[in-house]
Amino acid sequence: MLRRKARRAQEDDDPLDAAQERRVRAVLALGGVPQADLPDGVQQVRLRLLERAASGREAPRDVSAWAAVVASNLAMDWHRARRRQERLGERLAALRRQEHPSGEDTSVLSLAVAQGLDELPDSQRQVLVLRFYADLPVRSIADELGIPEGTVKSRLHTAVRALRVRLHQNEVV
Amino acid sequence: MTAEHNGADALMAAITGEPLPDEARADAALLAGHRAAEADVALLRQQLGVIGDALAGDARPRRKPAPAARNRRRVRTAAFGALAAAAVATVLSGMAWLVTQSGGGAGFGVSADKEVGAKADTSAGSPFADPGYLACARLVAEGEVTDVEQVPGAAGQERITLHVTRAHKPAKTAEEITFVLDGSAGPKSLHLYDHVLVALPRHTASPDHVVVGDVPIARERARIVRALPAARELGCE
Repeated sequence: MLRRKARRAQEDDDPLDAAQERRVRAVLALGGVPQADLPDGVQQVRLRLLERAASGREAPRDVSAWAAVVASNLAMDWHRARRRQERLGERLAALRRQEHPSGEDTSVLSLAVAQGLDELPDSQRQVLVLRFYADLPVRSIADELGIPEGTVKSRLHTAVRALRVRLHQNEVV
Repeated sequence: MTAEHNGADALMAAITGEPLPDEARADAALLAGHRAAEADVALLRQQLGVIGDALAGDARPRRKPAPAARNRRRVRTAAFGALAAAAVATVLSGMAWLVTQSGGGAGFGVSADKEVGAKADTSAGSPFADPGYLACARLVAEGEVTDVEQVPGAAGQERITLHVTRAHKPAKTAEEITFVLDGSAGPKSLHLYDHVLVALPRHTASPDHVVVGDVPIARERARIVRALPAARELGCE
């Protein structure tokens, strides 16, 4: 009984709810953070949120958006510090092989998009994930990353154009 | 690849979600470029959701559980993200999804009365009666189908262009919206000039509910009108 109460208290104190945690994991993964390191990444986001509260600063107005931006920055730092990242296309293909060893049902489109993401520079992939996965407006991305709105737009434009060219050339879409 | 008209860029408009200026809309080539860009952006948004969830090891179903009669092959292809997870986890996360949809999640911050009301409405069988569902919907709109295209490389998926005649959420949308229909939301395909009501959840480019026909839409519209005020007071998550 005591253990259950303690667990509930711990859950109540968790600054990220389950949906926010899922989102953080996905943003980290899309940023190339390897699967094995995702729990560490989520903990880092939690820690930063708790540190923010402990320092007396106001809680973020939109915790989900804030957490997505922090996670995307962590993914960028991850690459700089460790000089490695997981190839999304390879990992996605591996996941598919685990689920469907026969190769049946392989989604050509998903693999092509994942491989396209692999080819993007980190800075372009970061804004792409924040815009189209985390659903943040361009202005919010610019504010959160501390870069001009025009830079966000130009990175998005270049990234989406590159992906379109790749997908159309490969006749995936 | 990128259509422009006096500085108006079709791809950029699709990326930012801003409507094209009226002057630019008169340019047929730019308009066609904008539609194509919107479709590609919608597809990209959907795929990021699928890939992100798969790589995150997320077992959460991306849309409501499928009706039993659904074509299994189409389901397997569309639910790529969910395939990365074990069956047990899928069941558990499915339960969590149901709790959220019923308004019982703590994250909504609704009063006990509203929760009871939402549950009662939901029990009537329509998600559009549920303020919790509407609060988390990215877009709820009615319109007429103006274009249907097969998505190459994604069997059974159609790219639908809808001329919006009534926007419920947000109150204003682009005149035309594009989404990918994968058959999991109701009808497996739509036809030119169909009158449809669609609801798109956050982070996806595919609707999780599609209603076709004047009479069913009128019924759902009444529920939406009743539930929207409460939905506006709720936060999603």
